[in-house]
Amino acid sequence: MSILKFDNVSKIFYTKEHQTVAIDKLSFEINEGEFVALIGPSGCGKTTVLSLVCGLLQPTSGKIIRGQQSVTPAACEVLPDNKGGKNTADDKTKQKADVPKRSRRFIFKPKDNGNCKVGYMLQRDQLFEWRTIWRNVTLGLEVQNKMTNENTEKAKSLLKKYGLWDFRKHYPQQLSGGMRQRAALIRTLATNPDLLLLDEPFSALDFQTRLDVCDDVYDIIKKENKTALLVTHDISEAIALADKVIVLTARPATVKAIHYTNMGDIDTPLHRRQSPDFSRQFEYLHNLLHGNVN
Amino acid sequence: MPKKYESFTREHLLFLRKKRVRNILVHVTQVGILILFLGIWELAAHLQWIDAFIMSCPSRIWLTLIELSNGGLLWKNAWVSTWETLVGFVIGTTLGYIAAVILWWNNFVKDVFEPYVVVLNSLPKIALGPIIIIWVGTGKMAIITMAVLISVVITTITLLNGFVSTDKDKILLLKSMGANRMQIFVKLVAPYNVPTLMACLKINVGMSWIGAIMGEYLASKEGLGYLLVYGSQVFRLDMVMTCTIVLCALAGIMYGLVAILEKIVVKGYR
Repeated sequence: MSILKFDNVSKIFYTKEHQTVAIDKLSFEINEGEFVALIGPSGCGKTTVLSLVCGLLQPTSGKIIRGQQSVTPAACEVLPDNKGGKNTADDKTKQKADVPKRSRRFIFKPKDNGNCKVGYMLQRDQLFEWRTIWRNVTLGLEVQNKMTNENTEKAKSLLKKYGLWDFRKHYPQQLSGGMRQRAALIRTLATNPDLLLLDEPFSALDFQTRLDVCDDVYDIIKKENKTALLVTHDISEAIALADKVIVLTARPATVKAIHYTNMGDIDTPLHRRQSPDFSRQFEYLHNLLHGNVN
Repeated sequence: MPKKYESFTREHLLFLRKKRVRNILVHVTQVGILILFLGIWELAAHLQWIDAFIMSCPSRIWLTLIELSNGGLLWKNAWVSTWETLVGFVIGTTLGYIAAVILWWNNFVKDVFEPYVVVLNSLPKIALGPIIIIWVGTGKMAIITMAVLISVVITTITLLNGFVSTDKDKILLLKSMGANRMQIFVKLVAPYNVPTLMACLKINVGMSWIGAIMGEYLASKEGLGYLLVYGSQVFRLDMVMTCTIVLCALAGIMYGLVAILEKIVVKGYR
């Protein structure tokens, strides 16, 4: 089932002097459970793609379809219903009743534009130094007024499962780089997103840590059965992590090739890197990106 | 020897002692310079190298200090100035904070008001003295207004700069979670800028003292500024010097308190 679909999406940026076509008629699709990597020459508009997926930018033309066809913001917010009822007005009122009372007194309600299903993980962990790990992990729930019992329990179980429970009262500077990255991932997972966006999440780490954290993150994402879109300029990282690699052209970005890694049977990114197939794929993608092809 | 040091190596202990000795040396030198300065001043007055009537000297300042304290005159006036400064400090900082928040909140408002803020910042606030006196009278209100005016603009500018330079990626993170402007401010911008606020408070200690004393120069019947002006008019330089030293001490204490507050609060914010 398709979870995200770009249909002929273009994005043009305007400045005083000229206009820049950042993305030109970009079309691709991400299916549920897939791990997709987006690679391209630097400055080709990869981060623009992520901002579009998040809804932080609007496309100049084309359509972005998140989840089922014609997603409305309200439908996006509906929690799983165990009664198996239809997504009707009933669900919406039920959903509203779940929201803690405090939020309704607030004049400024959080934006409810349907981005809520996407979890964004940025370069560096972006943990807030003045919050404990627990308060960092629940930041998204706080912002979306979703500090319900069910959700906090889930956050707690994530912390326990991935070895950060004992550190919940610590502050980020007391944690190692790898642990911070894991905390950032749990923060992203706590809001229960359907799609994880990873914007070069390992680029701030040194090579050795990067390999470890890479395995760690991959493991968590697979265990939690999440769909992920990774943006990177690192070809080896893309092959090691992704099922599907989308290669973008230089600006204006459009799809140059879609490459399937077919290494689903190899369990960790590190082992994938050691596979003989790895270097062949690396060479192929490298030529595609930098080589004289076309 | 405290338990803590038992496990330390000899070299480590030597290193610690070296640090301690250096620290003590700094303090001793600081006090030494002060004593030397006062000693030379006193000596110069006694040997009549300088005219003690115009230049005063430590012993005369000391006697004046006792004389003025006995009548309660000095402390009453010092208290008046301190109070005016504190009120000006609190109001100035609060108004500056509010103004900075408003300017940060709305880019249009910020662009509109930027030139006004710049002009107000470069305007010597003392020039507004006559207007203040006519508008709010010559009492304490005039002095507090002056203290507020001097601290409010610089607070606004410093804080706004801090707000604007909040980590863009952290804002992006909150936006991707669906946060509105209010949440971005409360959860990120305000705590992120606690150190900026503390730096601002430090600046404002100086600013509000300047404002209060300048206000008292312009129009007042009490306060350290008033005593300073009075002392110079009746040519009692001992009184002027004494007031200056008390002023130094008060400003120093207030700055010290803010510095302690900063140490306690800032821990963990960066």
